[in-house]
Amino acid sequence: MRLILKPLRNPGVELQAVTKGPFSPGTEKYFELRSLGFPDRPLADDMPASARIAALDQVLKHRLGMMTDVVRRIENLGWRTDIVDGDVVIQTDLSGNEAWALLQEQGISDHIRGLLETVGVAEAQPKLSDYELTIEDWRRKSLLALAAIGTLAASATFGRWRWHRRISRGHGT
Amino acid sequence: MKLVLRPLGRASVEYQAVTRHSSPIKDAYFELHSLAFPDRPTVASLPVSARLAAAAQEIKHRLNLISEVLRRLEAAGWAVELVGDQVVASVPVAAAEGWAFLVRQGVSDVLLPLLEKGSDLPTAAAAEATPTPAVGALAPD
Repeated sequence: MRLILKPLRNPGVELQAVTKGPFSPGTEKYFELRSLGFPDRPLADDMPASARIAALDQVLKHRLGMMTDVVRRIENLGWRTDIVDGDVVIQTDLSGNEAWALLQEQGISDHIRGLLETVGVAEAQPKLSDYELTIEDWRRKSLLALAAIGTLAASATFGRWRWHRRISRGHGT
Repeated sequence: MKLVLRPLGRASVEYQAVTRHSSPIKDAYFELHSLAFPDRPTVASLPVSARLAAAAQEIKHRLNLISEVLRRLEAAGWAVELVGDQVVASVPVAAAEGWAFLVRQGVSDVLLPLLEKGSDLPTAAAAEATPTPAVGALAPD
């Protein structure tokens, strides 16, 4: 399986993300908090450049911190990681299902999936379908388990009803 | 007077920059990071995660610095705009006067290494007293 992460986008795109709306919920919240520091309480659209750069700092700090942690764990698994043209390319000889199962075991599958979606890397999308399959399997198993529990509960209720009926008949006679 | 800053370089440039120039702080940082790996990697064989972490540190420090300097300039009435991937700060005064203001504010030394092409640099006398600016340090190769 191969995954591609893009920790940093084009600098112009990164700056635009904090300059022109719609802003991400995190950036919106950050601007709201920052506006308290100005006497005229500017809205997100009128925010000064200094606050926008600070917002970019926050966004990148979170994203890069998360990616660093995820990549470090993946390196510990023995997977190959490289930087190719600004992208982080992660490779393993495992199949998609095996690899995603391992990532789930490590508790980082959701983190990685979020990062892949954020950057929208086309090459990584087919691998997501493997994950979707895993999720589908999990859903199917959950439904089967629920159905089994429901059947057990129904049979227990029916058994109790029959028992009560037998007792009431016994009392009646 | 006009100042041009580039807060963020191209991704590949940012990742390379962390090992381009050696410094005691960077060496100490990588040495600390290497403790987390059984094979104790050096700068020459730096794992991707350590390189990412170092780039994150550098960017965080730089953006924080630029944000702080811009806040002071905005408070002093400078016009600050985000143009493409650059930040342009301008004020309708001569370069000498503008730099004198920056020196008074205590941000001239911080600002100089961050300046890009198109900036009004300080006069020769002032430049001799301050560190050499790394103009275009983050410009694409």
